[in-house]
Amino acid sequence: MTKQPYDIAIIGGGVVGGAIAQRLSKYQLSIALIEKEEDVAMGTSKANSGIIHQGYFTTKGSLKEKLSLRSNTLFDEICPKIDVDFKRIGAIFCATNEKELKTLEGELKESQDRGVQVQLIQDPQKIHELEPQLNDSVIAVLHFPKAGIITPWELTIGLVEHSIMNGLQVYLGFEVAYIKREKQIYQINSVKGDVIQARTVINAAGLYADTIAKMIGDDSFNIFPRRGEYIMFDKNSMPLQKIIFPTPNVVSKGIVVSPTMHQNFFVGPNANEIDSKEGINTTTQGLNEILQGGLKLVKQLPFRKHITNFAGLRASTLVHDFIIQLSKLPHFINVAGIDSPGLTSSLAIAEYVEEILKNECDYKFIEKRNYLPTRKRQLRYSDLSESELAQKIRENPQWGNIICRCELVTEAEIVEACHGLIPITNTDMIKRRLRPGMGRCQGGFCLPKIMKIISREQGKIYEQVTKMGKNSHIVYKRTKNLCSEVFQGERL
Amino acid sequence: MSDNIQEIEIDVAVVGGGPAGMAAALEANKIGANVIIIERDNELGGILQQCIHNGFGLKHFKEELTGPEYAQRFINEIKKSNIDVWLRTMVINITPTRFLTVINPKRGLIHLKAKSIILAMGCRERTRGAINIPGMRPAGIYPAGQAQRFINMEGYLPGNRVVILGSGDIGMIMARRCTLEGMKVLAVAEVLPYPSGLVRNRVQCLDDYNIPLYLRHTIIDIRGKERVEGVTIAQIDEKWRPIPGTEKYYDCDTILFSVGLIPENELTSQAGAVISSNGGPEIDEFLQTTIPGIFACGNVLQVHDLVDWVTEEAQFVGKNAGLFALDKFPGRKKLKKPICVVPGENVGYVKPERIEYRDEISNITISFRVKNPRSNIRTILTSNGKEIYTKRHRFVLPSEMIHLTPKLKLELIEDEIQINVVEKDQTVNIIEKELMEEK
Repeated sequence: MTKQPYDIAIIGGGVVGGAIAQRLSKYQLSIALIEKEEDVAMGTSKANSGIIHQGYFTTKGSLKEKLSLRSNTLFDEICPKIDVDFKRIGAIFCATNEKELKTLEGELKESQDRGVQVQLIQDPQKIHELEPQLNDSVIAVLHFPKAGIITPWELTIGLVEHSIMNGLQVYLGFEVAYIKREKQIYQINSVKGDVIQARTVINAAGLYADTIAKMIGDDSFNIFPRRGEYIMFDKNSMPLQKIIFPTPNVVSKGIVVSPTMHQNFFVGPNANEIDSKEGINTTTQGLNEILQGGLKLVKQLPFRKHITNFAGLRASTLVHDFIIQLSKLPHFINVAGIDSPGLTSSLAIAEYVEEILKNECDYKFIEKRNYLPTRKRQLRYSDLSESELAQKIRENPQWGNIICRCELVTEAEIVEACHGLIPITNTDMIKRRLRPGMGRCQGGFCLPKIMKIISREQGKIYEQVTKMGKNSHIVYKRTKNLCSEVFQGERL
Repeated sequence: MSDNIQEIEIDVAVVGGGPAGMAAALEANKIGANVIIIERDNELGGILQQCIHNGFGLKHFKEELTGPEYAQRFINEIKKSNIDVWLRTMVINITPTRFLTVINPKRGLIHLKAKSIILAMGCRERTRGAINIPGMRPAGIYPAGQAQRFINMEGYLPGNRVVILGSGDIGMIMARRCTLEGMKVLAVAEVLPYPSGLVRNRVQCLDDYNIPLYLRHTIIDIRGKERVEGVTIAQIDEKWRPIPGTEKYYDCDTILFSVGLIPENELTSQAGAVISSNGGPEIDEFLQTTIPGIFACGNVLQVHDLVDWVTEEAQFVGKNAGLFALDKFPGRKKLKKPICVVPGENVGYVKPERIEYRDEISNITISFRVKNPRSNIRTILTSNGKEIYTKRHRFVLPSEMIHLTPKLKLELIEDEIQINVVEKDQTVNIIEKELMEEK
């Protein structure tokens, strides 16, 4: 890689790195996005609540307050452009006693000061109408109608793909080992010995932002992982209107019960400081804790309808605010400590970073003449009417082969995803793009078929098709000493 | 219906070409109905095709067959018949008026208008997430049936060192299969105080291979970021909480879950049929769902322990659905009010849930499972408190479905029949039962 140095290298392919790339890709700048995993959205961006907040319960004057408020409004503009589904279903904070009601009244005032649309509702009838599933012990709710839900990895993928359409170079599986600066050029070296050169580095490395900063001698902050565990429930197992919060405490906004964009719902997260940045395991105590938390908000949780549990790590710091500023070395911007409301703030963080670049770096921000303003996600089975589907199958028989029964995904869609802007190398990548394996059977039926499609489309030996890259082999070797092979043919 | 979609009329549409669908189709065909089998896989036989072990057919064929052999006998019959088989075809919708929307890569999207429908979609495996097992989520965690597919159908080994949670039949059979393929099975853990599969499988698949079975144990942690690296199991107390100090750690790369099967009833619900507490559709004595003309048999209705029972159930349904399509349905004299059949003491669920007609009341077979193992018991059927039938059983186990033909008399029945399994409250001594069976 002895190419010309990039103008900008963004380290970290999460929602923040993606949003920054998407924001900057309209300019005549050469940009690289560097990610250690084999896909984007592999860290905190794939395991969080997927809620777009409305500035509530943020500290006055903080970056969190400013950027989350601004960003909330940006979703209406960006999501249609990049074809990512987003719904403003509204959030309610619930009080079950006078003390909590006082807290909500305080927040009502602060939200009004922020100019946010909000209502405090105490009439039991009206509370019930707003969310029929609420527990009867709720005496008041603070309703934020402009809060919304989104699928966080779909947002990240949308942002990155839109950037790729406009010239972004993505380096997946590039784990940064060390960074040197020579003649005003940063040399970003991977553990495998590859080098990417850039004039400016944006450190959006999430949980590892401190590690990256330390590579250039910046030890001004540390990231402390704070784990949140979740339980996901089956589609349509409980109809919910609203995102339901308890009254927050000082540590977090508390355990939420919220619908998802795909008719599932979840409970979680709890908040526990842990030692390991890889500690995305769930625990018996944690899962009990979030079930208890959920049951304080809703009348009941459907028995045995949970389909999976998972945990995500918040990249928290001691300053309790985002750290978005130039480092002590020039042309090195830290975007760190992006914990809640980080997903919400991502779009405004990108705007803020653009401002820093404009003020501090000597680029000419000239817009591309051939900029492609919109990205279209690939067509899905669920987009089609019966007669459209009939027509599609006539054009391409693979539309007539359903691979995933739970989420209804056809072979045609998986084949198309394999050849998308981000090349598919493992089964979880397909899962995050099209959802096979996210349903109630969790891939029990479709996994071998998806492996065959990836093997065939990418010319990969079957046993080298992994779950999430690296060492995540699904099968090891053939039985009876048969030969390894690349799958060919139609009969999956 | 839009004009570019082909519409086909048929007497009986069978959804699913596994053992239930095949037996039902043959029976409906035998009495003169036109039948289509719609199967999503590349071939008929369903899950039997991956069950290459023996033990099938002892009741139905009076000989011991492997799964594929058992299936092949029906496939051969179907080939000889004029049953239409649509492979690689998926039903994507069923309406209460018995319209099916199906898609196939070659035929495209087609509407089928059926006079009757037989639901025979089988079941799926309960997953790790459904029982809320904590830990990491790396590769190497499979439902036992999926591992069976990898090994027996695809020809790939899913791992080297295995721990299995759940002593369901598939789990125990896979313990043996993995061992025979050169993998090391370290342990089988079971939350219940007794094995949840058939006794013969425990003996032939675990004991014979010295694979330890830990009862009242569950998984409390899974390690490994990319691939499973280890698993911790622990004993649980009466409230299903792990007991500190009983943890055992295994260095392994694979975890199989054999923790139950769930009838696959998304289409049934789409058609508007009522789903019962066991996960299968609610049925009457002709195994008709709450939607007239839509019948169900096999594991989509209730999870069976032996395929032989599936065949028997499916043949009965095939006949009923065929007769329904030909306008000769045996249920003619409807009761004023259906008789509800409900589970009582120590009974998990009962099929059928209701009796709708007077015609065949003395021939009705009732099937059910007990909640807990018991010995020296009686099954008592009561109707509004009065005993109407009783039968002695030496042993009952949750893993073994019980079938009764109590020769019901309408004059003794009021509006409800309750099934109770009562008497000495004594847990079965499994060892004692094994010894009895061996004799």
